[in-house]
Amino acid sequence: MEEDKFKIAREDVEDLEIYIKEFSDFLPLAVCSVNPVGVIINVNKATEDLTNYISLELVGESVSTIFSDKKKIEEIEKEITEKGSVHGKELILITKDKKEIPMSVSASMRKDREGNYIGYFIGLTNITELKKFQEDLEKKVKERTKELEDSKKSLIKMLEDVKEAQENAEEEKNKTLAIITNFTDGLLVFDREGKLSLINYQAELFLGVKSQDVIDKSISELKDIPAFNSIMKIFKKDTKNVSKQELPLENGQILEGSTIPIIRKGQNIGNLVVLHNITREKAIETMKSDFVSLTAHQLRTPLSAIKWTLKLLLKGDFGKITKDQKEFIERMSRSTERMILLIGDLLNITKIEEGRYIFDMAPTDMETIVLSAISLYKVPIEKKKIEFTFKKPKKLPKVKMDVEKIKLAVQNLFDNAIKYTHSKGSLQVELSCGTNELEFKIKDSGMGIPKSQQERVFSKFFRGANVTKIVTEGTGLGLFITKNIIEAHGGKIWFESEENKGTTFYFTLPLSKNI
Amino acid sequence: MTEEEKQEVIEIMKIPGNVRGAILQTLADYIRYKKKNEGVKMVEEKLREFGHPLKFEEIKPLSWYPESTTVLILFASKEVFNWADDDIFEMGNFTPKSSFIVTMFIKHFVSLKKTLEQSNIHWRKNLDFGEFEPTELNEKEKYIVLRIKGVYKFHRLLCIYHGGYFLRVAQFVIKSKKITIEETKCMLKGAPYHEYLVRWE
Repeated sequence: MEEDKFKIAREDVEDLEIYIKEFSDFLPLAVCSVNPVGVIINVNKATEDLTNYISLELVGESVSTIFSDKKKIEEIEKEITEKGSVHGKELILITKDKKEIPMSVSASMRKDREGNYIGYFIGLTNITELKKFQEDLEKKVKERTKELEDSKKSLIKMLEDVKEAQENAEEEKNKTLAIITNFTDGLLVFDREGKLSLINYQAELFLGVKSQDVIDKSISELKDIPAFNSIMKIFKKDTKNVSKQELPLENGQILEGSTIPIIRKGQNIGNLVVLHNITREKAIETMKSDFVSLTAHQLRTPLSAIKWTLKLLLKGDFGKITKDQKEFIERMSRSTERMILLIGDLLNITKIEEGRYIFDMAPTDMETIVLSAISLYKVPIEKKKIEFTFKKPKKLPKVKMDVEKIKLAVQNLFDNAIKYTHSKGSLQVELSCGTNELEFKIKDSGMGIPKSQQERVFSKFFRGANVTKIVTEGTGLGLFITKNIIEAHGGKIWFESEENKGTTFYFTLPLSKNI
Repeated sequence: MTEEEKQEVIEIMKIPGNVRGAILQTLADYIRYKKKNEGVKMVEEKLREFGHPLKFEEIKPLSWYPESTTVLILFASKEVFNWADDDIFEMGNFTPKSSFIVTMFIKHFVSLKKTLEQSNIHWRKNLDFGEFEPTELNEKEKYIVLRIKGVYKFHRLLCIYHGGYFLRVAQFVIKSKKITIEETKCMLKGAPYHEYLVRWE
C-alpha cells in the first residue's frame, strides 16, 4: 500500500517534470535560471533559439559570457539581491555566432523554503525592432531637428536681410525725402484716390500753404485753396500721360506744372506734380522776343529801302549799267530778299512764341489756297521739269482758318518739296476729306530726311545734313512755323521720309460743324 | 559482439546497486548532443547486441535502474563511437547540466560549503549504494578532497565518469576559470575508497 502511494507520487513528479519542460519550451520569453555565483543552471527552448546555443552549451557557463557588458550583469545581480527583482535593463546579448542583439532584461530572485537566496530567473526580450524603431525615430528627430535648425538659421538670416533691407529702405527713404525736401522744384504726390500724400517745402513756398493743412486732402477739397486752382487745370487736361501747363501765380511768378502718372506694375497708383519756376525764363524769353521783334522791324525798313533802290538800279532808272554791274546788283537783290524773308520768319516766330499769331479765323475753301500755291510755284516746277499732279474730291467743305497763315504753311511745304526735289522728279499734292477733318498731302521724290534727324524736323533752325551742302538757301524756320500754324488751328502735322527716295508731309485741319 | 566485449559485459553486469533513471537519461542527452538521435539509436542497438536492450525514451527519471546499466551504456558508447577515456570524462562533465535531479538539487548550490554539506543527500537520492563524503574543504588553499566510501570496486569507466561529474558540480559553485579534478585514490588500485582532489585557481 505504502509502495503504491510512493509510486503514484513518483509518477506525479515525473509528469510534473514533463509538464514543466513542455511549459518551459512553449514559453516565447527566453528564461534562464542562474545560481548565486552567476552560473547558468537551466535554460528554456526560447533561450536556445535566441542565443543559438543548445542547453548543454549554456548550462554551467557564467551568465556574463552571453552578454557584452560584464559589469552591468554584476550591477543587476547586486540589485536583485537588494531589491528582489529588476526590470527593463538594457543589455547586449552575444549569440553563438557572435551576433549582438539588444535585450531588455528582467530578473527575479529565487529563494528556498527557508528563504535563502538560491539564485535568480532572468528573462530576455529581444528589443532589436524596438531599438531600430527608436534609432529610426531618433534619426528622424535628429534630421527634423536639423531641418528646423537650418530653417531657423535661414529664417534668422532672412530676418537679418529683411532688417538690413528695411534699414536700407529707411535710409533710401530719408535720402529721397531729403532730396524731395531740398528739391528746387515743387513736388506734390497725389495717391490713386486723388488725395495729396506728399508736398515738399518748395511747393509749400510756391503755393503759400503748410503741408499739415493740405496733406490727405482730395483734389476737390484743395480746389478751395486759391493757389491750387491753377494746379487743377493740369488735372483737367490729362492724368494718364505726362502733361505740362504754365501756371501764373497771383504774386507774378510763373510756374510750369507737369503731371506725371506714377505707374507700378502697370497700374496707375497716383500722380506726381512737378512745379518748376519759369518766371526768369519767361522774362528772358520775353526780352529775347522783344529784342528780335525790335531788331527785325528796325532791319526790315532799311532792307526794304535797299531792295527798292536795287530794283530801280536794275531797271536803269539811275542810268545804264554794265552787264557785270547788273549781275552784282542782281546778287545783292537776291541776298536782300533772303534777309527780308528771314526777318519775316523771325517776326512770325516771335508772334508764335508770344501766342499772338493767329488772328483772323474765317471759313475758307482749302482748294483755293492750294491752287494759289500751285500758281505761285508753277515757274520753278516747270523749270525743274517736275512731274506735278494735284488730286482732290469733287466737293470739299470749307474749313475755319486764318487764311494767310495756312497759305504760309502750304507755301512752306511746297517750297521745301520743290527745293529738295531733283530735276525731272515728281510732286503729288492731294486733298481729301474725312468725317471730322480735312487732310492735305504733299509727296515729293526728293532727297528725303536722314532717319537720324527726323526727330528734329520741326525744331527751329533745323536743316537736314544732306541738303545744306546742295541747297544753301533756307532759314530752317519754315517747318517750325508750319507746325505751329497747324497746331494753332487744332490740326496735326506729320511726315514720312526715306533718304534719296522722297518725303511726304501731311497735315489735317478740323472741320467745324458750325460753319 | 567480440569475445572481449562479451566478457566485459558479463563483468559489468555483476556490478551491484541501483541508480535513478534520470542519470541514465543524462547519458542519452549527451550522446544525442554529440551524435544526434542516430547516435542514441546506435547505442541502443549495441545494448541490444550486448543482450541488455534498453529504450532511453522509456526510462522514468525517478525509477531505479541497475547501476550496471550506467556502466553498460558507457561501455557501449565507447565501443560504438570509439571514444577515449577523455570522452567518457567529458560525458560525466556534461551530464549534470541536463539532469532534472541535478536541477532540483542545484538549489543547494548557493555556496561551495553548502553544496558539499548537501552532496551526500544528493548522492543518496540518486544512488542506493556507498557514501559520498567531502573530507576536506580548504578555500584558502583552494582545494577539496572528496571520497566515496563503503562501496564496491567501481568499473574504471565509472571512475572516469565520476571525475567529470564531480568537476561539473564544482564548476557550478566555484567561480574560477580553471578548476581541475584528479582521482588520487582508487579501490581498483587497492585503496580503501575512491578519492578525488579538486583544485582551482
